[in-house]
Parts: sequence; structure tokens; C-alpha cells
Amino acid sequence: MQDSAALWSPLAPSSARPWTPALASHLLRRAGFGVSWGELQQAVAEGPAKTVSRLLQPPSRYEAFEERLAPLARGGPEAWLYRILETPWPLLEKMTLFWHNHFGVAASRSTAELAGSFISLLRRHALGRFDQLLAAVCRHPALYVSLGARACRKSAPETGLASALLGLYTVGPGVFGESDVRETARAFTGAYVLRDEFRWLDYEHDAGEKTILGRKGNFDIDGAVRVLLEHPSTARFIVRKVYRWLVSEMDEPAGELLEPLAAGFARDYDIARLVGTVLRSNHFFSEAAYKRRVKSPVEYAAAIAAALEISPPAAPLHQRLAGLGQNLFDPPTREGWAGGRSWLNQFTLVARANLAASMLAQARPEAVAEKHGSKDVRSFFARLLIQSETPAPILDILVSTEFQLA
Amino acid sequence: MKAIDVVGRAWASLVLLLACAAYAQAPPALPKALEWLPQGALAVLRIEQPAELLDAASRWGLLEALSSNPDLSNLERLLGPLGGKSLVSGLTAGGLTVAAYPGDRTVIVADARDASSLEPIHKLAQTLVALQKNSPKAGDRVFYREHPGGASWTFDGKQFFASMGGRLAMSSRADVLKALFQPRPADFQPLSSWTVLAEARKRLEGGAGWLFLNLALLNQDPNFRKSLAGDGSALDVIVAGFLRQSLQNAPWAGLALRIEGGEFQIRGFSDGRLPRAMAFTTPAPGQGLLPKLSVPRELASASLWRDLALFYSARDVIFPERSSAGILFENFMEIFFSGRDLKNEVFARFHPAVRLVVAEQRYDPAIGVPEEPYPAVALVFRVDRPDEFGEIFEEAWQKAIGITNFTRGQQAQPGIILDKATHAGVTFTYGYFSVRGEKDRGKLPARFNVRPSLARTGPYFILSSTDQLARDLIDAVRREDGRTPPPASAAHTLIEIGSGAQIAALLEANRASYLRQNVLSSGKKPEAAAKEFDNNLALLRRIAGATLAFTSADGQTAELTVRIK
Repeated sequence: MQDSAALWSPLAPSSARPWTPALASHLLRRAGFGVSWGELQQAVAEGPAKTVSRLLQPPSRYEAFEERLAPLARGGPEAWLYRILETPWPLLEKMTLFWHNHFGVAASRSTAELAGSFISLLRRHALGRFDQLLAAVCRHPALYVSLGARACRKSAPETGLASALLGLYTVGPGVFGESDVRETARAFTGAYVLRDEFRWLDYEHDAGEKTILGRKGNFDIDGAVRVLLEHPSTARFIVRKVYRWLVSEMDEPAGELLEPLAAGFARDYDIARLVGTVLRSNHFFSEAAYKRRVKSPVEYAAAIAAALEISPPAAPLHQRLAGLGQNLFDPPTREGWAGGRSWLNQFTLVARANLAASMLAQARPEAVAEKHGSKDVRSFFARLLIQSETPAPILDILVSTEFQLA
Repeated sequence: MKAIDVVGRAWASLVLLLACAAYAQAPPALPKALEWLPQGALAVLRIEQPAELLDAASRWGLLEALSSNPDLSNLERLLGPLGGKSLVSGLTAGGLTVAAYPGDRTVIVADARDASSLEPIHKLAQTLVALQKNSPKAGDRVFYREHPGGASWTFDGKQFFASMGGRLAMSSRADVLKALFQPRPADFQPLSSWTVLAEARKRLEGGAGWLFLNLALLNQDPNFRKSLAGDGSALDVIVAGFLRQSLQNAPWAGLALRIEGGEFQIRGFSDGRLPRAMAFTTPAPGQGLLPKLSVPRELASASLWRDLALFYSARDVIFPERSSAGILFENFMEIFFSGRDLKNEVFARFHPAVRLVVAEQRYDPAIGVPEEPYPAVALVFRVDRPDEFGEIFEEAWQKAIGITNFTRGQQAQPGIILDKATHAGVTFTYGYFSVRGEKDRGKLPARFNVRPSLARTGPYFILSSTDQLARDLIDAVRREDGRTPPPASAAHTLIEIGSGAQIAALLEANRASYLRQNVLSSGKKPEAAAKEFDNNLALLRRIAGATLAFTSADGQTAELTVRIK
């Protein structure tokens, strides 16, 4: 077994481990929502290091894209789906979706307006620093409303909120006890949501000493968050979730494998550096990661749209994706979507096939293949979508097991 | 699957060619379109002189406004060198007929002045087919074939064209065209001998064109029936129930188009009789709608005849299943008018002639301006024994405000504060949301479009979404001098739309919201959605006004008249 530091060192293509369209496509699928022929060719030509660096930075046309999207500013989940389908910076949306899943804040448990504002917050910090993201989340009304904690009173601390903060957002399960939950809840007393705004009511704050994860102090929100961030389990927990999101959700990684990543992340909680390290690594381009995730419905639809070079109407597509189990803005529980194999069952596989067929009907695959110099449309899409030379009808490709995997 | 498709198309092309050739050897004089097309259509559209329609559209500047539409400007570029409008005039001198049959079988038939009028089309088709043939994927799907008396062609194997003498026919189904061009069996039954269509044509013909809908067939389609069903609420039944019931019961409906000077008129007919339960929408002999009330910045107005006492008496027939909509209606009425006989002590007090006004709002900058401005809406109705009923109605209205406030309070939303104001000697009640604490008074939330008001002047009540419109209506009612004017129309529903420019200004103020909806529901790029929005506004600005009147006599008649600047 290789040592974990070597596994996380950047891939250096060689004749023994060449940089192939399959690997380039793997990178683009994980760092975004799909692959168009043009993007695939660019990634193949640039190589892994340059491609990952490019994906981590906003492209030059990103500012203009944001301006174009101004009319959609208050558009709800459909507007986000439109953004996902059209964005020139897919990694930012991919990580925004990651944090949406991580925090599990739902419009149905708060309001569409609050959920929209929360997603904007997640996007601002998606590739920034986790400590800043967590501090901002802990002062956003959507979090409190979604967890049923509109009023954190001194006489009735919100243990549900504290339990989510510890077990779902930071240190993870198995690290804390009931007393840590109670004490963390005391630190959050005074936090209120009034008329959909976060407010701090000093008279409702319990200013007494608390003990959280073995540390004592007169903690308030910032103090409690600092304790959680300084606990080594937080970096490990976040890194494990990022691994599941970007690398593999099929196998549980060993603690030693993740330790170098967690140690680096704990230094300054730089999300972009963590993501960059993962995406450049030997491990990411190995069998341990290749086709080891199931596409979520959003990833599945966006991948079809990217390949067929179509812009499906976002509002009806959003409805269909909700029917497939992924209702953007509305993860089903505070743990987010279960992901992995849970996306696929007899019903959703048929629905995915129907979705693929209807998107294919909106497209002109022959024209796309011809535009990119291919006269054999089946072979073209086989090479683009599943990196196979075996020509098959496009719909067969879109409903194939290989295409369900990211 | 694909192979079957290609074989099918090749076969279709062949049979089409043979059919055309066979027919070409027969006498070329074809019967009129309605005698040529078979019965059983879902819909038939007939335009007598399409060129006249184009002329009118051009005269009114509609073509100019539409020319920024990329599809239309492409068509214009294509047809321009071939003669543009004169080409259309020649091509459709004998009229244009569209017949849609079940099974996605639609036929478009254009009757040209003569066979030579189709020559430019043949040349254009040959050129386009030759261009398409260069594509490696074209194969047998694309062809142009001449035969005695005409030609047949397709550019993509999906839309088929055939010409014969002076007739051009188009369809997405080659077999449909084939059947049309084959010699007819002795028992062939054309549209022209179809009894139901003949009945409709008596009322539809005589203008620039008409549209016939076979409701007996369309109503068998669950989706169509669903689209007519409405939401089943009491308000839906009161406002539009007559139209839904009429269309559900009618064997046919039709629209007739007339163009005269600066206006065009569309008259709609259906022979669906309304059930007795819908009698609450029919004015008694000698009675009818009241004239509109004019207010500043008026966008639209409506005058309705709705006898609420009759409606309430028929509620068990209208809501036979004790539906949730019916139960909800009764529950709320019992809350609002608690302890009263709803039929005799409440609904019988309302005179059936009700007027509705929609007007643009002006906002006081000192209070604030909503980010998305909505128009104000008000109802004006006369009641019997106004002094006694005034308090009863005021109590009911304040209960409604109270319920709204209670519900908003549960959702941690600000409530409405009630106050009194006086205008022209009339003291009335109005409600408002406080702007205290609002950060940006230039972009207030949508709730600031609403300042619910209830005023009474003489026997008239004014129920308005804003106090501003309530004040304007107090003035308008006063101008009627407190007397109920004589009936202005025998219709039961009359809607009048004001200047298109004013409506366009209101839509423009809500631009961001419309663009957002368009982009998300259609998949358009924001730039394309903005262009389409601007085109639609340009068209709207051309409208000087419009009226839509519904009358119940011998079926339902709807008459839409649009005046163009």
C-alpha cells in the first residue's frame, strides 16, 4: 500500500500513467456537472495541473455572466438550476451544492426567500474558508428557522440546533456527549429570528461559564464556533465529506488516508486548497475514484445538457428533478440527501430514462457531432459520454449504468 | 428504430410522388378546400384573404413591431426577393385553410391565384432542397420531384409539401397528403357537407376569416377538459363559470374575424346552453350592465351581472360533491356574516350589477415605492338598505382583515393597521402596512402595493385594494349623482381595456419579474427574453383600446373588439 502523502501528491502524467480523455472527463464530471466536447478537448490539451488551476479560478467571463443573471436574482431553485446549467465556473456551483447538502437548510422548513439568501451566502464562501463560512452560517436566519430554533431562550436552550452544529456541521458523531450539546446550546442563547432577520438579544443570553468538548469559557456563538473549529475532529469530518463528494461514495476511506488532507485543512480551513489538492492527486485519478459515485439527478440532467449543448427550460426541469428525488433548496432532512445508491431504484431509473429521452428530443445530436467534426454521431457520443469506442444509440448511452456514474 | 424511420420516410416520399403523379393525370381542377378536405376535424381555420390581413397588420405597424423577431425577420429575408407581400397575395388569393385531425394530422392548404403563382415557391423549394442535399445526412429524406401538373418535396423528411395546379398543401404526414391527392371514393364526405360545421359557418362566415372548434371531440380529451375545469372555487365559478360550462356543454365553438378601418373584431360563439344553476349570470329582461366608472390612470374596467342570491340558492347544484371549495366558501361566509340568513339577509342585499376597475397606482415617495408595482383593483356594488347593511358589511370586511393579520402574525409577518380617512365628505376605512424599519423605501416589498379600503357613498360600496383608488371611485360614483344609471348593455360580462401604452408602462415597471419567469420557464437566454419582452411591449403600445363582451342568448356569444392606433 502506498503512503497517503504520495497518494495525495499531484498526478504527473507519464507513459506509464498517461493523461487520457477518460481521466480528463472524470475530472470535469467531478469538478462540475458535465462535459461538453469543447471542454473535454481543452482539458486533454492542458493536462491535469493546468486544468485544475483553471477550474479553481473564476473565468474571465464570470463577471459578465453574473451581470447577465441579474434578472434572476430572486428566482428561487429554478434560477439556481439555470445558473448550474449555464455557469462558466461549474466548480463554484458544485461546491455550493456540496455546502447546501452539508447544512441541509430547506426552503420548506424556512421560506424560499431565506433559503435563496442562504444559498447566496454558501456561494460566496463555497471556495473560501470554512471558518468564515461557519461563522456566517451561524448568523443566518435560515439556519435557525430551518432547525425550528427561532428563539434561543436562556430558559430553554435550543439543543436541536446545538446537536446539528456538533454532529452534522463540525466535529461529527461520536465525538461529543449530551453535556456538550447542552453547553453549546447555552452558548447560542440570545440568538433570535424576528421578521426573518437574525437578532441577538443580550437579555436572553446565558453569560455563565460553559464547558464544550472539554474547554471552559463564557462562550457565545463566536466562542463556541471557535472551540469547534479548533477541535481536530472538525477538519477530519469535513475532509471525509469532501472525499465522499469529490472522490468516492462507494468505499469508506481509512483514517490514515485522509490524515494529510485533514492536517492541511485544519491549518487555515482553506476550501479551495483542499479541493485543489484532491482534484490534482494521484488518488483522484486512480481506480479508487474512477466511476465511484452515482450522479445525483441534477448532475445527471446537467451532464446531458452539457453534452447535447442544449439549454433546457429550468422551471419544468426543476420539477422533474424534484420528482427524481433532488428538489434544490429543499433537501429532505437536515442531513441533506443520502446520495450514492439511494438515487437509484426501479422508479427513478425509469424516470431517468424518460428524462434522457425528453432532453434528447430537444437536441440536435447530429448537428453537435458535425460541429465537432464527427460524421458518426453514435461513436462521437460514446467517446464523449462514456469514453467508449462502442457505438450505441445515444439514448442507450444516456440510460447506461456507466453514464449514471460520475 | 432509426432504420424503420428511414424506410418509412422513403416509402412516404414514394407514395406521395406516385399519388401526385396519379392525380396529375386526372383533371387538374380541384374542388374548393372545404369540399376537398374530409370531415372529422378537431379544428378548422379559414382565412379568406391572408394578404388583406397582412396589409392591415402592416397598416397598423404590427409587422414593423414584429420585425425584430429573428424568426420573422428570417422569413422576411427569405420571401423578400420573391416578392414579399405580393407573393403571399398570389399564393393565397383563393384563401388559406388549415384543418387539424386527431392523431397529429394537420393539413394546410393554400389556394393560389393560378398555377403560375406557385412558380416562385417551386424555385425556392428546389434551391433549398439542393442546399440540404449537400448535407451528408440528407440521404433520401430530402427530395424535390416534379410531375405533371405540380411537384412534391420535403426539406427534412418531417414536413411534406405537394402542389397541384394552383393548390399548395402541407402536412407533417405524407400519408395524409397521399389520401388527399388520390381519387375520392364515392362515399367521400367533405368538410363542406358536415352538418355541425355548416351550422357554425352560418354564424362565422362573412368576415376576413374564422376558426371552428369541434368541442364534441375536444371535450373527450382529458387534458382539454382539465383546462376548462378551473379551480372549482366559488370565485372562479362566479367570474368564469358561465364560460367553462358553456364550452363543456357545446358541440362546437367558433371565432369570426372582421377587419374594419382601425379596428379588428373577433366574435366568438358557442352553442352550449347554460344549466339552470348558472342563471345567476343572466340579466332579467329590461335589465343589464351598468356603464363603466372612469378614474384617472385607468387600465381596465369590467361590468358584470352576478345575482349572488341566485348563486347561493344553487350552491348545492354548483358544488354537488360538497367539495372543499364549496365548504370553504360557506365557512368563510358564516364567519364574516355570523348569525345571519346568508341568502335573504346578505346576498339578496347586493344588486347583481357589479363594476370592477383596475388602475395604475401613484406612490407617495414620502411613504415609499414597491420594487414591483402592481395595479390597484376595486369593486363597486350597490346594496339595498345601505344604512343597515353598511355596518354588517364593514364588520365582515374588518373580520377579513383580522383573519389576514392573524395568519400573517403566525408567520411572523407584519400586519395591516386600520385607520379612517375622509374624502369629498365621505369617511371611509382603510388599512396600511407600516414602513417604519424598512431599509430601502425605493424598493419596498410587494405588500406595500396594498392599502385595503372600504368606502360607501349613497347606496354604493367601494371595496378597493388601495385608498387612492377608493378616493377616485368616490368621485366617479358622485358623478353619477347617486342614481343608478340605466342599463348600458345586454351583456352579462363586459371587459374594457384602456390604452395599451399605459399597460405597457406597468409591465415595463415589472420588467425584472417578467424576464425572470420567461428565462426560467422557456430556457431562453436573458438577452433573448429581453428582446421578446420589448417586442411584446411595442405591440401592446399599438393598441388604443379593446372591449370584450359576453352575452347569453341562443348559446354564448363573445365579442372582442381591438382598436389599433
